[in-house]
Amino acid sequence: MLNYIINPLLQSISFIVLWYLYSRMGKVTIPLRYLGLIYLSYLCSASYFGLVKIVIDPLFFLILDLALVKERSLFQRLLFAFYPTILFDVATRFLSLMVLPFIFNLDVDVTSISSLHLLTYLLAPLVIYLFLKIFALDLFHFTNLDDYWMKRNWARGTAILAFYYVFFTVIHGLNNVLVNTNDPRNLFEIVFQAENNRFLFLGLYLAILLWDFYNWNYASHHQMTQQLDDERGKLLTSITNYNRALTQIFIDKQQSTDLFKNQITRVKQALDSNHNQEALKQLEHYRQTHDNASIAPHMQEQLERISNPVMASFVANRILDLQHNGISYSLNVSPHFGKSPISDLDLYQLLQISHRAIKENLLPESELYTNYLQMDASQVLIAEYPVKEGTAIQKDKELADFVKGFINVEYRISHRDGYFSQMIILHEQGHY
Amino acid sequence: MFDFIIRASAAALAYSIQCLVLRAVLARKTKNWLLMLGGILVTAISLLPFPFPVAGLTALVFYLASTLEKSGKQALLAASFTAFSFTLMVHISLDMIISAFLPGLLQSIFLGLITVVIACALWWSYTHLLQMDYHNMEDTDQVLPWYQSTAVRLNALAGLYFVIEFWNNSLWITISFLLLTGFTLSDLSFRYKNSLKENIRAAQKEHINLLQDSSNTINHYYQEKAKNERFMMDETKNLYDLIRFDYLDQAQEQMDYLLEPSPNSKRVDPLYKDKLAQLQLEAVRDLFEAKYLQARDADIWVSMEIPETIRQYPIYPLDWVTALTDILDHAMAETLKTDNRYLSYAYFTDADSQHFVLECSCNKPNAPISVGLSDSGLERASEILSKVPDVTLVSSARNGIYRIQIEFDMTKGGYHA
Repeated sequence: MLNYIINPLLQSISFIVLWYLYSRMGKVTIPLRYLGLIYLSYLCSASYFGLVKIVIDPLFFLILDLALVKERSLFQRLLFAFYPTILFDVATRFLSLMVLPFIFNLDVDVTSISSLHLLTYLLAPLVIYLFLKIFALDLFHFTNLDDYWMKRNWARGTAILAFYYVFFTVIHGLNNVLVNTNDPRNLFEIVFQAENNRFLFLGLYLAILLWDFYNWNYASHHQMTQQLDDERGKLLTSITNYNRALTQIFIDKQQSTDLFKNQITRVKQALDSNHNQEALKQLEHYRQTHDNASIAPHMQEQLERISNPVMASFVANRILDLQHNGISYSLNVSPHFGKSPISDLDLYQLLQISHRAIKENLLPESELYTNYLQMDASQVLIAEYPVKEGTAIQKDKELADFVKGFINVEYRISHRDGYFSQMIILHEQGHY
Repeated sequence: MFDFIIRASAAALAYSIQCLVLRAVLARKTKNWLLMLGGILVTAISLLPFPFPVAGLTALVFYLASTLEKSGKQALLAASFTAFSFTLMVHISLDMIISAFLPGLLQSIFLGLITVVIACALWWSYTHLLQMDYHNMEDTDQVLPWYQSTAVRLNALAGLYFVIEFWNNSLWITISFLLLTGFTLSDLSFRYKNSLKENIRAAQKEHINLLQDSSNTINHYYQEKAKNERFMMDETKNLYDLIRFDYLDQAQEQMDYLLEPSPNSKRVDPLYKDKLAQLQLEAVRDLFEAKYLQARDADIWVSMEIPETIRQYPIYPLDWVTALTDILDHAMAETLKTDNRYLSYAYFTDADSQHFVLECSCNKPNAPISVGLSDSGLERASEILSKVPDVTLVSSARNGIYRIQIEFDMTKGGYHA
């Protein structure tokens, strides 16, 4: 009779702990009424599967994760399914095999005493908390780890841990079953001497767990250090690019001034030798080849529609740059072209890389048409330009790699009638 | 006799492992003769027939040996932390691990040695598990109030433990102290991770700021360039009209005016590209070139000297470029306030040092030679350079000349480009 009360109680405690750990690791939140439903189904399945329930737990959470979260890599799903149950399992075993027998001076596995068995479940959260706290494991950070570290850690430790978890469960499960049916000399016991070696099994279990903790700590630490290095590397690159851009402007300015002075010197020489027509010809020639210094008013009008300063100055620079290189440029911007769905930093890099990709294939003295369109839940940046017949048309590698880092940015290309178009679509959050 | 030798060598091994730990935690020079003396003393004490609080003694010796430098606080922390945490590990390995998992060893004469080895392994693995970096313990500590600081907590725990050690060292006390120490260290580890996160965010923020600022600056200079080109175009049209309508005198006058060299242009070094080629630090080279041309554009008499080839960054490249950018920008802003605009900078290297020297005209009142950069506008550069251990920074303002001198000790090597 007591079992009918205690068992659901134990399952409820384990569900609360597992759910808490799972939701923290996977950053999952759902309404309370659905949680009640999940709780009920967990209770049913746990009661139905009885002894092997502990093997079912990871499966249950794996299915839950598949149902609740759309975008997530398989290794993350496996981790979030396995880790809470493993932690809970280690904690209860640690309590029942070492801590409680030590405190109460018993020489048996306390799972056979139901009041102490309940105590292991009650104390398990405390032990998990102490483990996580003392070994500085940040569950919340797990979703930030990228796929490389996930795979590496699964290969190095977590897979062994998961295997060991199942193995350990099977040893104990079989032992319990076979002891109850009064057959102590079973094969399993003979091979592993599980009852005598239970401390060794537990020690190994703890050792693998700590090794795994070490791996995860190492991963999060190194990923962050690497990220910091990357960020600082990017910053240094930007500073260098910025200095180069400035240098370029100053050199251009100096060159145009020198050119102008040479021209004036030649005009002066022509005038000194009374060749007025020659002087006029010189001046006329200069005027025809250099009158491209300002942004035309219709461009200015289009430019004002872009509210993002990073983008606006990028486009302004592009206009001047292309004009200087003798490329005819047309710009069309939707009215109310809004805020970009990605950060300014990413936007700037995206624009720079896409511009570099365009410039690589742009023919001299040709044309470039750009359209910046605002859709309901996205922004579309299109650039079209003529390419030579027979050019291999393919995606720019750098741009494609960069875009891969975002889930809400698409990069497409097309080629028709000698015109190549590059299309970048920025979807607003939640609309992809 | 054999028993005595084993006991003494266990004590000596424990002591020397702790010395290594101390060196790792402290990362500074220690008084080695004192450490040796302490080692002999501890070994001798281990042969006494009665128990003696060795941990407290070790901590004292370590403290005395590591107060070579002025920061006594750090030495105290390192000394007490080392002895304390190691003693805890010895207790854990003896009372928990060996008695639970390897009870057969309890009677062995090698018990002491094995305990020390296990304790060392535990200490090492715990440090690695937390990814502890003891060098930044002090940095992380500095921003906290005293009652939250790791140093104070660890010292308090250690002191308490050394006192309790005199009359009781039961397993329970060890476990509770171990838990408390674990909490403190994991707090530190979490703080360190958070500070990493903050640094990443700060770098991203700085990047965004840089991009916006640079966009604006580049825009500004583009406009300047465009304005210059418009001016030349207008002048061309004007001249065209003057010649067409035969106002030749006015045209001559106009041309003379346009061809008149700007007052500083003659003094510009035409060989600056060759000098820059000496500098193999890409980021600094681009910075120097941009600043050189920017100064020239602003009609500043500018000179730049790089006499030798430079292949190594003295500090982390980003930091060095940031500091140099701030210093050069500041100097340019100072010299623009004066009539006789003048800016000169040199970057050169010795056998084992690098020097950056800058001079510019300024309107500042005379100020004596001072260590460090005190000007407003140089806070960031000053903060970066203050974290570098082997650098000498001198600035002064005298007779309208502002001077900055930076010298790096390169004996420990630098960052390769």
